[in-house]
Amino acid sequence: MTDRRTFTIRTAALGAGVVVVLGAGAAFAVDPFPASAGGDVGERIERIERRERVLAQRAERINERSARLWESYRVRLAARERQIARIRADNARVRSAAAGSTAAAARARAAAPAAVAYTPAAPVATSGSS
Amino acid sequence: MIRRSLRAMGTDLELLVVPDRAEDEARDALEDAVAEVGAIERIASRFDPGSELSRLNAAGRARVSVELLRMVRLAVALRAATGGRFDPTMGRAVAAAGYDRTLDEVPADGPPPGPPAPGGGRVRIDDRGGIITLGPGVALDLGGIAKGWAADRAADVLGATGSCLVSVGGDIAVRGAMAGSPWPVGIVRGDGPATLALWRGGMATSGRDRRHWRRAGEAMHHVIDPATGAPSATDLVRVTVVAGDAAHAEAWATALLVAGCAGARRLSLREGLPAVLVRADGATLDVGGVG
Repeated sequence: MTDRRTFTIRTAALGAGVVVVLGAGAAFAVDPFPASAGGDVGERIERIERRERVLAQRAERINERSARLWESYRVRLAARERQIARIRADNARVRSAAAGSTAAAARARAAAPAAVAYTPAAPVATSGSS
Repeated sequence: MIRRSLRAMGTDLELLVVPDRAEDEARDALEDAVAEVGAIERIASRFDPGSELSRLNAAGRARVSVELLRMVRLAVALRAATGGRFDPTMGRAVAAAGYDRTLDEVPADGPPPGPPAPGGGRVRIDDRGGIITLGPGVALDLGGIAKGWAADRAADVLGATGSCLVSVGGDIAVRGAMAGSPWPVGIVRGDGPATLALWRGGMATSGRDRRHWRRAGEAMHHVIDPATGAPSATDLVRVTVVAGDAAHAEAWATALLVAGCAGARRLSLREGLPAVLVRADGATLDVGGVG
C-alpha cells in the first residue's frame, strides 16, 4: 500500500516536472531574448545598429589595409620583374662578350637589322653626332 | 606614350615608353632607367676623379665592379672586331688633344696639343678576380661606348614595362615596336634631315662636325684615329650605324668614321651593318642595307 502510494506521488512529481520543463521551453521559444529589466525594443535595435556600425568600420579598415598591402606587393613585384629583366640582359651580355672578339663581331653582325628603311614619319628622337 | 627628358652624362637623355602595364609602373621604371644611366656615369666618367674609371686610370691596376669589367671587356672585344679603328685605350690621346674635361668646359682655344698618342695599349682583364691591369702609360676612355651602353641598360630596365626608346646624346636603343610601327629616328644626311625606321636594336651617330675646338690655331675634335693618335682626318664627317644594340652601334660608328668613306663602305658590307655615310663634300652614301 505504501509502495503504491509512493509510486503515485513519484509519478505525479515526474509529470509535474515534465510540464514545468515543457512550459519553460515553450516560453523561451516564444521570446528567446526577453528585454532586460529597464530596457525596451528601441534600445536593443540601437545597440544592434551601433554594433553593425562598428563592424562596418572594422571591415572598411581591413579592406583598406588589404588594398594597401596589395598595392605594395604589386609595386614590389614590378620592381622585382624589372630587376630580373636587367640581370637576364646582363647575363646575356656577359655570355656573348666573354666569348671573345670574333664572337662579339659576329653577334653585332647577326643582331643588326638586315635592312633599315627611310620613313616619312615625323621623328620621335634624333641620332646626332655625340 | 610617356616621354621623359633630362640631362645626364653631359648630354641630353630622352626616354620614351609605350606602357603595356599600369602607367604608374611605367613611371617607376622610367625612374629606375634614369638611375641606371646615373650609375653608369658614376662608374665610367673620365672627368670625375672619383669614378671607377678614373681610379683605374690613375692606379693602372684595380679591382673593379662587374659593370666596368663588362664594359671594358666589350670595348676591348670591339677593338679587335673593328681592326683597331675603335680603341678604348685612347684616354691619353684624347686628353692630349685638349679634351681633358667635359665638352662644355673645353676652352675654344688653348696651348698647342700634346704629342699624339697612338692606341693599341695593353689591357689585361682578370675575370675571376675582377681585376683590370693597364699597360704602362695606358689610360682608358670609354667615351666611344659608354653612352650606347647606358642607353642599352636603361632600355633593358624600361623594356620590362613596355616598348621603349632611350636616347643618350643621340645614341639610341629600342626595345619592341612603337605601337606596331617602327620607331622613327631622325638623322642628318648631307642633303638635309631624314628619318630612319628602327624596329629593334640600336642606332648611333659619330661625327667630327659638332664637337670641335682649337689648339694654337689648329682645329681639333674628339674622334681620335688610333693609328695616329691625332684627330681623325678622313673624307667622312658623320656616320650613322644601326646595329644589334646601341653600344655596338656607337663603337662601329666611330670605327667607320675613322676608316674613311671607302673603308667604311667595305666594313659596313663585310659586317652587315646598315650605315649612312656623310662625306665632307656633302655627298651621302647609304650602305649595308639602308634604303
